Amino acid sequence: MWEIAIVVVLLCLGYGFGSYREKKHYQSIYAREAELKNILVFDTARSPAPESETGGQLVLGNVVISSDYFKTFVAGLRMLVGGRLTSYESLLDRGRREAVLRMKAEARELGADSIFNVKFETSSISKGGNDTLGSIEVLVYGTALGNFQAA
Amino acid sequence: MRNVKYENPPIEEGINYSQEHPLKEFAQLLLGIGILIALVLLVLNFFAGALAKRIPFEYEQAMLSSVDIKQIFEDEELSEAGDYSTQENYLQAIADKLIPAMGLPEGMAVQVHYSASDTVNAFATLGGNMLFFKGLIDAMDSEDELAAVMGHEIAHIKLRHPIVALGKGLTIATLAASISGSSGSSAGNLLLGSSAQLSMLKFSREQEAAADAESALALAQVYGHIGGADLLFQHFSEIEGEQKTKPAVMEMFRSHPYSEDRWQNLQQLALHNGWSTSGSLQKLAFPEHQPTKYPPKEHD
Repeated sequence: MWEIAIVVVLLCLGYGFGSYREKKHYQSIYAREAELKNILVFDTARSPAPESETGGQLVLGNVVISSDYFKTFVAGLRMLVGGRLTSYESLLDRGRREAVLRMKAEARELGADSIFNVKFETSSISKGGNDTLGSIEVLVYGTALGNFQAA
Repeated sequence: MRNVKYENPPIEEGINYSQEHPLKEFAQLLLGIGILIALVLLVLNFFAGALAKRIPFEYEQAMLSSVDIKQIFEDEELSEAGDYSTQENYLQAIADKLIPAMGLPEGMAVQVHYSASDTVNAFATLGGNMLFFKGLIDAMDSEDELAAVMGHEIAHIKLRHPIVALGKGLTIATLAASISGSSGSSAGNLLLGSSAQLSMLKFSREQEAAADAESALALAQVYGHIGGADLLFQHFSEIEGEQKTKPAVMEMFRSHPYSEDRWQNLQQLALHNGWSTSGSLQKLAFPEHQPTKYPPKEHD
């Protein structure tokens, strides 16, 4: 009986805090994406006009984000029947976008206007086995170009 | 790059993640999987019960052959070490008196054990073993009442209720282990340590009713009336009525509730079969019997 009560409390806490944090985070992501939209990102290795470019410095954005009890519970149920793990999709979406924003912020500090050769790395820090919650790290990096001299 | 106009247009929201309310998915999954598990459980439970009954009694005994049942009762703190052979012989004699009237299948034997604990209870378990507590016997004045309980416990064994309960329990534990993906430690423990589950087997209300009916039939044949069972249930419903208001209910009523209903069922049965519910009761000649007016001490 107590075990069920603990699970219900954890689910409520997970859902309450988790969805509040997610909502806040998305609001912040939308605002900063609009703010940083002038820094362009490309996955091509080279600028189309390399002769006119200056700068050229590694920039990176890194984020570690954790699942909550509710997301993990729903994902656990979903894994019994298969299908989209929607509760983790928003987690990864937030992680990737936050990492890109941090990289762009670094590029803006340098005075860059574009980032080339952008690559993503995602790894799970904790897989969430045995009653622990999963957390992921997203690393994004690229070469910042623009009107600045590389250090 | 400067002479070409590039831009990163905003990507539409809701493609890489779902905009559906998370609680909707949660409710759907919980309900769907819950119903599925309940159905599977129901089907498995039915087959486990139906099949367990067909396990030959010798197999049940063989399963327990390596186990010292007295030791297990002591380990579970149900009984204590000591020589209770006089008490057990007396109880066994009552069992033997009833057995011819109970129509046990061939090869089935029962073994009565005694515990000097004050717990007001008795139970039947695997391998034809029964445990009677001093507390229960002290609460009785007549042999007829004891025979009514004895008949009830023998009926559980005759109807294979302990092995059915074990079969159902194992099935559910196996299912739970396969869902949770554990290496079956709980199911394994239950399988290997099934002997440790001896006192935890729970019988359904239908099984209790069936055991009551068998017991009454045997009483009517052996004693000529079912006064013992009648008196027993009368007392039990009185105590149960008193106990309902108390937080700690006596052990007996936790495993055997609804004494009032059972008493009424018994009286209907008596009416239907023309059994007398009153008759001369035989005084209980239990060794070192200390009759008490229903002991106030409760055991958990």
